[in-house]
Amino acid sequence: MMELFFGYLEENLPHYKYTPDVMNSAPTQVAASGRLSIYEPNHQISMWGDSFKADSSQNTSASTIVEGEVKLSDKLEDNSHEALRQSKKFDQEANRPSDKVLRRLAQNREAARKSRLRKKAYVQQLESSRIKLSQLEQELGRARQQGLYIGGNLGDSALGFSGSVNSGVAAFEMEYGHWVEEQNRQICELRTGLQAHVSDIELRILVESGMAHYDNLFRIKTIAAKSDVFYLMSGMWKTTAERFFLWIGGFRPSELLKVLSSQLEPLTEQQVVAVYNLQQSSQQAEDALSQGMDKLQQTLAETLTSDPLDLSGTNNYMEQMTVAVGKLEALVSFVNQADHLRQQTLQQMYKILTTRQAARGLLALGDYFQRLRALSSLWAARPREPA
Amino acid sequence: MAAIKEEGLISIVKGNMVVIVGRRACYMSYVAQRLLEGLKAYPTMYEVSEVFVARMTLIRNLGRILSENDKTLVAPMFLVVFIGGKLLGGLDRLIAIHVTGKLIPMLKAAGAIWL
Repeated sequence: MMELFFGYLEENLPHYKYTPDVMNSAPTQVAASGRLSIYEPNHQISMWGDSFKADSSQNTSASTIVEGEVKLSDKLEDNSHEALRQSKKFDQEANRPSDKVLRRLAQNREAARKSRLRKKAYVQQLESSRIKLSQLEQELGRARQQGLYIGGNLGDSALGFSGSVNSGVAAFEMEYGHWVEEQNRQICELRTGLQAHVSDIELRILVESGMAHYDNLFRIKTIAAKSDVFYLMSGMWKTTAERFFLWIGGFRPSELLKVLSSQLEPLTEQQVVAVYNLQQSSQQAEDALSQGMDKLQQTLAETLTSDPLDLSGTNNYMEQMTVAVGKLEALVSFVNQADHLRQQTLQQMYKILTTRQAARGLLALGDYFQRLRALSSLWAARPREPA
Repeated sequence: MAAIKEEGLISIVKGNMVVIVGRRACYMSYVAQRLLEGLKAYPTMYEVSEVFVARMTLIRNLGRILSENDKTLVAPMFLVVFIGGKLLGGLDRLIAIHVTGKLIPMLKAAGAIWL
């Protein structure tokens, strides 16, 4: 109990300040730490102050609160003698030992009672802080799943073995968080702009910044791919529902076009043909890339397969591993090519459409991703039967 | 991929409608091949050795190395796609051309596909 005493005084009784020459003629060293300060408005507290002063004279180093407390707790039993001696000084003219003893005991009881009350309050403070902390953690978890990426996903990553924080990954997480926030803002602007029937010139500005915003996404993904391609491929930077649709570290362009097409009516005949052709082309490019990925998986598996009982093959182990590492590096190219395809598809769509249609298209796209993120939150919050 | 000696490269490129020049076991070459085959254009695959790649990279960078102007080396130059004897570019260029709808007309013009 006594260990808490000193820090507790300092925190909860801030108006108590140390006045060095109160009622003590014995020379003392004031403790170097500025936190060790007591001001006695009444005689009771002064006894404790004096005990402490006597104690501090034995402290040669600048005390931290902890040290001071520990030393104080050690000394308090011993200091009862010192307090007795010093209280004798105050009552020298009275010269009644029994009174002094009684008074000291009363003061001890009083101080102990106050100390217990303070400890209780301090512990309650700790408890409420703990509850608040767990509430904040819950809020953070919820906010995260709604697509506001705060502080990074690394805590709940399934890749538990990668304990060290990759700074490239952390940087990407932060930038992606900002990207999503900006995306949400732009979607709002597009919505209000379209509903308010603003001019084509204003829409064009919105569309161009929307396209540039996607360019930003691909740019930061390229940098992240150099840092940790498996992180991008895992989709851990996206919400759960988005991850379900993951294709080579991002969205599938042909799927995207399907989402958009239905929202863009009316289209001219020329546009209908162009959109259809674009859908075909992106599907074909996707197929080629998917086949490349399958081939990579196949050859990687073959590279790692060898007879574990073949002792003569031990020299091959390092060779095989080196080859395997080289193959994994191809993943960076795959992610880059996939992102390039996504970018090309978006830009071609922009060329086919009018400004107004492009605005509606960007809105539809952004809205779709927002719904996916919301779905992720709902899924996470769904009521479940207890196990 | 059949391993063809590098001396024949020019005649191969000129003599075939679609040629993909790439390293052995290169996944991007495979992707380009699958894309073109999906369009019924069957490319000739020309495999270059690693020695050749090193030589070409050195030659390309020679100017920069000697002048000490730009220390950054160029991006990998393989794979390279040729259509109708003309240089097209790498995989990203091939995809970009296809997405903008220019690839099929190009292949038709080279006689690689016909309707």
